[in-house]
Amino acid sequence: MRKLVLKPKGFSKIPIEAEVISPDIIGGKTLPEVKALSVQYGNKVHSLSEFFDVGGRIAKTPDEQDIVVDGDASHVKYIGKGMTTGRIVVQGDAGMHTGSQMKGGSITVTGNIADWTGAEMKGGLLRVLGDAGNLLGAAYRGSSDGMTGGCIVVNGSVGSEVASFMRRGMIVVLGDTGPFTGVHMNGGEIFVFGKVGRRAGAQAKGNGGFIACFGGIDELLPTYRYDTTFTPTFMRLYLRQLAGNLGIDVATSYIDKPMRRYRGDLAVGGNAEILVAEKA
Amino acid sequence: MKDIVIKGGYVYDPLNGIDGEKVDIHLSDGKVVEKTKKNAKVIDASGKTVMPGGVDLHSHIAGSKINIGRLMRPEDHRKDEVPKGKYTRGGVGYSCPSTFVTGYRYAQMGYTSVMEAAMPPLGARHVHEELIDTPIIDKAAFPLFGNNYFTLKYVRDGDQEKLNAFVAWMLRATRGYAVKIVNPGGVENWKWGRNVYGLDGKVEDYDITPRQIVTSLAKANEALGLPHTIHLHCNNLGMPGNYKTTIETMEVAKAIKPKKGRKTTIHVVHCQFNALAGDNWMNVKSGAPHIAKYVNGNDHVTLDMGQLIFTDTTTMTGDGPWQFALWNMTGNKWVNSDVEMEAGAGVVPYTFKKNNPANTVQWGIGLELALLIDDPWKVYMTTDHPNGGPFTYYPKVMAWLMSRQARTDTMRELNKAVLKRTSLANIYREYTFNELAISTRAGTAQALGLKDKGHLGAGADADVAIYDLDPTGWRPSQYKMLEKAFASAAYTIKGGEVVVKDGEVVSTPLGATHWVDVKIPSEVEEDLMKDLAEDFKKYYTVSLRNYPVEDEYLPIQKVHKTRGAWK
Repeated sequence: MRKLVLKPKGFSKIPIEAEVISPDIIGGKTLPEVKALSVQYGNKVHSLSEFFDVGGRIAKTPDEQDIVVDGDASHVKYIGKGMTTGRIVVQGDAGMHTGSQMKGGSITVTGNIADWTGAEMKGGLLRVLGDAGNLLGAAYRGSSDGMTGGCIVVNGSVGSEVASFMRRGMIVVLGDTGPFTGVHMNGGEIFVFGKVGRRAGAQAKGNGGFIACFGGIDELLPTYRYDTTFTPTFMRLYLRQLAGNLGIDVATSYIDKPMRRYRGDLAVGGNAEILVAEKA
Repeated sequence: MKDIVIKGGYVYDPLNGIDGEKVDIHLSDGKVVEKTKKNAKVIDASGKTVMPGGVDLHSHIAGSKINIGRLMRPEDHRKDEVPKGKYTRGGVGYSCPSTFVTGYRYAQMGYTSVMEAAMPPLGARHVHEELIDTPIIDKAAFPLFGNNYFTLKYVRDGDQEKLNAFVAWMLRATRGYAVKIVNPGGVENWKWGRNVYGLDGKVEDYDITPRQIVTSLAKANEALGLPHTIHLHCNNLGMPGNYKTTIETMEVAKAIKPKKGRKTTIHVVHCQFNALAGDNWMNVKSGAPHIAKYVNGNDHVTLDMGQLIFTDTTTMTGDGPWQFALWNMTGNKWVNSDVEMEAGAGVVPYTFKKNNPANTVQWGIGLELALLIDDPWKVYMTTDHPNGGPFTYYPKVMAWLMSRQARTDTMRELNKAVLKRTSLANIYREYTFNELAISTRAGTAQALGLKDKGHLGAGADADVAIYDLDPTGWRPSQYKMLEKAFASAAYTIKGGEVVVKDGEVVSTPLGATHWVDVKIPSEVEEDLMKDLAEDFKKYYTVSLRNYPVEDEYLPIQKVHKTRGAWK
């Protein structure tokens, strides 16, 4: 991997739209070319080097490209939008739409992240070590296809409408989630180790999708019906993988924990599951 | 404005019998002329195809319906953002493009005239407001008559005289161009949650049938001498087995005496949706051969394809009950709209899929209609934008018409139903450039009665499209080249001004809005107004005085005057 370092030249009140910060675009270019890449600043187009100190090495192909954003990038939007390969590490906070519609590769953000992170994600891995904003992995307004693949892991807590219109893929939240987790969910998996917010799974159609709540749930919608309490075999498999492949150690403590199964959302004839781990 | 001479191009001008000959075209003062002055600007079109500017006779580009589509589909805009250019404004595209982008994109394909095919009379102001913001192209709008309270009332009373007067008055009041009928009677019944299902269904409360509505309006249309025939969206749209209804409807119009100088009495719109055989959507098959056979044997019908494109689009029509049925099938978003006293509408997003057997059959039907009807003057190319697909896919449809290989290559990707349930695979016909010109400009202009459009004879409007394609060397196997050339015209000239060069918009003048002014004798009009005033007072939320569209809404207008039905 070749490492390109982008050091933000300070915070700006007007956000910068920098979908060019992506291995797909940077890989194979020369350093001057990268510096000249255009970013949107308000309604003006500027070059990347006006907002970042650009240094380091550039790989011949995108899959060899490692991009490090070294510093607070909370004013930078669309980092890694639509990327298909390579790696991005943000050493600090990142702005809205980070990793939206990404198809592959990986993004790691060591700080907090704003709204619409990983929106309509199709593949790849997105890790946030801090907290995430609202609409994590959600569908953009109007669309009925949210996340269709890939994996998002958030170590902290997240806001509302996590994974709206989720179709496939996986979201793991170690902290709490806000209201409307998995709203309109139509497949996919959500694991929450903290507390799940109100109205989880509203209007969820199911299609094999579930929300696993290991830290309890605030309030369950009346349109979810209790089925049974059991110890799902598949959950054991998932939790081992979470611990083994993604380094989520807390997962191991829930293996063999019985779970209460709720089915819904009956308001739309859905067949999604909310699985709530029994208290020890 | 400087005169222009287009030199050395292969010209296709079917209305003047020019079929690919090298002719110089002279443009002066917004018109085609015999000869220009010496200092005219010369456009070198050698090795290129020259045609009159395209004329689209059925598209939904302005008004409440498309605006509902725009509102309910942010996801559609997001995938096609159009940034501001040097001469152009920013906007969005795809299935519900913004008004400005609509104008630009039509011009980029060499189209210079586009008809908005369904205008609810009460929404006429809205339509014209949006047409003001649709640059470059000439346009016109067709008000909806088929379920209008007054139409139904006069048909019930058998008062043809009053109906004639009402149609004439309404065209003037809404600044409309032609009589549009959508599912006659069906949308009225939809107000009670029902439909009419065929020509002899009963229209609630009026005790009349769609057959009577079509007959009366066609009679009025021909008596008034309107430039276009009735523009009819048949009953039973989208219901398998409906080709019979369609042929029956055409048969109804056969009995009508056309106006002087014209043979046709009916234009059936987006016929693909009305040419379905079979009993239900599981076993739907093509009814196109039946319709083609009928149209080949009769001279009073024209139709357009309503070709389906495999993409995500937004269906919108005045046919409220059909949109409800479609919503039931898809479970997608749905907006139902009612226009008091006059019409209704529905909007449902829909994705036509290559692996959906019914969709592939529909795709085949559109092309079958165009290819099985021998006379290209009878069948025109449309996608019923955006119902079959966005108009930006026209070049693709042209490629399918002109190249069997293009069709075969597409069919390879499709569900096999298209091979079994349509006859498309057995059709070897390929359109010539001349036939293409008929299907996309000459024929449509003739059907619309736009005498100055669709040809390049002296006196015609100086609307010209030049495509970077050498028609002498072109082979159907090179269909991708054709698609590319027709998607971005080398030059589009509108009213004698170069508006597109090398596929880029370079100038954005405002086009004219065409409408028909029928002469109504004052005593007939007074009589009608008394009638209207009473019902307006009772039922309308708008007063009669505020109802007609003022001239401020049409900054550039082209009035087509007709003599009317009264001596």
